[in-house]
Amino acid sequence: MMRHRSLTVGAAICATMFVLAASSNVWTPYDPLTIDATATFAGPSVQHPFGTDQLGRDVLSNIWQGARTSLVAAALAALLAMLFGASAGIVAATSRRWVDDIIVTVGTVFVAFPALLLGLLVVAARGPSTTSSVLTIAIATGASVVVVTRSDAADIMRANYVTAARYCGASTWSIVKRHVARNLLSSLVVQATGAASIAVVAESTLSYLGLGAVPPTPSWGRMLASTQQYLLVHPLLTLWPALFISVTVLGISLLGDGLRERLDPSLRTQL
Amino acid sequence: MSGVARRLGSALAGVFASTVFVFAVLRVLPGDIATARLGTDATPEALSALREQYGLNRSLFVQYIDWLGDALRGDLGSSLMTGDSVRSEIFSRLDVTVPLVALSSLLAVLVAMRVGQHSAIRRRKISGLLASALAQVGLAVPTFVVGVGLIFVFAVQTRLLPAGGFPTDGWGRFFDATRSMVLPVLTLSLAQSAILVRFARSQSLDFVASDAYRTARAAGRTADQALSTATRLVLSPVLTVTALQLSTLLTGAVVVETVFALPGLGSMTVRDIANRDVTKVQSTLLVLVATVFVIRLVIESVNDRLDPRRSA
Repeated sequence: MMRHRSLTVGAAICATMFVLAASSNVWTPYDPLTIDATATFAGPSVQHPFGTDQLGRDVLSNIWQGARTSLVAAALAALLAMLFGASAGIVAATSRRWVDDIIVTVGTVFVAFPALLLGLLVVAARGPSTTSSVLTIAIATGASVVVVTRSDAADIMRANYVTAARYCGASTWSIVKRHVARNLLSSLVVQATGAASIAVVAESTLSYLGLGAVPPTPSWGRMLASTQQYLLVHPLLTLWPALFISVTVLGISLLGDGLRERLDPSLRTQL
Repeated sequence: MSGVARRLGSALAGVFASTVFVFAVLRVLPGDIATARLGTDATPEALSALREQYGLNRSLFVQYIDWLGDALRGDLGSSLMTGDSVRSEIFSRLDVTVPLVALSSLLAVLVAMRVGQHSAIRRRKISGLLASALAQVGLAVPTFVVGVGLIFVFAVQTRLLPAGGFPTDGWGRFFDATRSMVLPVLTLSLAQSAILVRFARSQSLDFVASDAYRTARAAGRTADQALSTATRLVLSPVLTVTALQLSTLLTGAVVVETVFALPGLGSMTVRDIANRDVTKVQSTLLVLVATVFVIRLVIESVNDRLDPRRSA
C-alpha cells in the first residue's frame, strides 16, 4: 500500500511541477518582473493569491516561473550526468584494465571532491549563471554515477549468461546492448531520480548563495535569499519558495523510491 | 597494515590530483588577474609591478610548483586583494568552523543512531514510521531552508536565540558565542542525520532479524537492551557514510555560515570567490580538500577498530 502511494504521490508532484514549468513559457498570472511600488508586501488576496514581494512583484508568478529554472536545471544536470556517467561506467567495466583504472580513479577523485567547492571553482572561472550551476551539478553527480554504474556493469559482465554469449561469438558491443544496458536500466532510472533531486537542491543552494541563476531570472533559491531579511514582518514571502523547493525534492525522491521498488523485485519482500 | 599504507597512498594521490585541478580551473579564468585586482584604468606599470610581486608573469607550471612547494612548507601565500597572510586568515576563521562542523557531526551521529534504532524496533508502530518519515522529509528540505525555518521559530517568533552573527571577541564571550552556535549546529546536524538515519535503521533491522537478537529477547532483555549490544555494529556503517559525506558536510558548513552570517571559513571562501581573490581561494581550497582527506583517513581507521572484520 505504502509503496504504491509513494510512486503515485511522487509522480503526481513531479507532474504538477512539470506542468507549472512548461506552462510558464506561455502564461503566468502576471509578468513576474513587473514592479509595482504601490503594492509592496501585499498579503494573499484574490488578485495575488501568494501576495506580492518587497518590489510589489506577484509572488505566484515568480514561483511559477521559478519552477522552470529549477526543473530545467535539474533535468539538464541529471541528463548530462546520466549520459556521461553511465557511458563512462560501461566503458570502464568492458574495457582493458588500464582504461578501467583511469576512469575509476578520476571518478573517485571527483566523488571525494566537495561538490560545492567544485561549484565555487566553476563559478569563479565562468561567473555565476544557470549554465555554470548545471555544469557543476552534472560533474558532481555524474562522478558517482560513473562509480556505481561501473560496479553494476562489472557484476553483469561476470555473469554466466555473458560468458555464454561470448562463447557464442557475441561482440562486446552487442553484449553491452543486449545484456548490460538492459540489466542496468532499473539502477540507472533510480540514479537519475537521485541525481535530479540533488540537482534541485544544488541549484537552489547555488542561487541562494548568489552563485546560480542571475537576476532577473526568477529562481526559488534567490527568492528565498532576497526575502530572508523580511522574515520578521513578512514570513510568508520566505515560506513560498521554501515550500516549493522542499515539495519538489520530496516528490522526486518519492518517485525514485517508488520506481526502485517497482523495478527491483528483490526489494518487494523486504520489511 | 598494508591497508593503512594503501589508504594513505590514495589520500595523497587524491590531494595531489585536487591541487592540479584547483590550480588549473582557477588559472583558466577569463580575464587577467592583475587587471581584476587593480581595475581596468590601472597603468601598465602598476599592472606589471603587481604581476612581478605575485609572480604572475612566470609560466603556469613554475607558479604551480612554487605554490605547492610553499604550501608543503606551511606558507600559503598572501591574499591578492588585501595582501594578508592566507594562513593567518584561515586560522582566524577556525574557531567558528571547527566547532560548527565537529559539534554537528557528533550530534548527527548520536541522533541518527538513536532514531535509526528506534524506528527499527518500532517499525510497525506509529512512532517508528513517523521517525523514518521525518528522516525522508529531512532529506528533501535543503540546508538553507532548514536554517531559515529555525531562525523563524527560534529567533523571530520566540527570540530565544540570535538570528545570526558571532561575537567579535569570539569565544572570549563564551555564553554569547555558545548561543549563536546553537542554531547553526542544529541546522547542519539535521541535514546530516537525515542521511545517516537510513543506514542506522537498515543495519539495526538486520540485527533485529538475527538469532542473537532473538536469543537476547528470549532471555528477557528489553528490545532496547538487546539492540544496545549491537551498537558497534550499527555505528560502523554510520561512520563509513559520515566519512563519505564529509564533502557534503563541508558544503553544508558553507551554506550554514552564509545563512547565519558566521565569520567562518565557508563564508570567507564564498566572498573570496566573488572578489576573485585567486591566490587566497586556491590555498583555502587546498587546505579544505586536504582536511577532508585526513579526516576521512582517521574515520576509516577508527572504523577498522570497531569492526575487525573490515580489515581482514
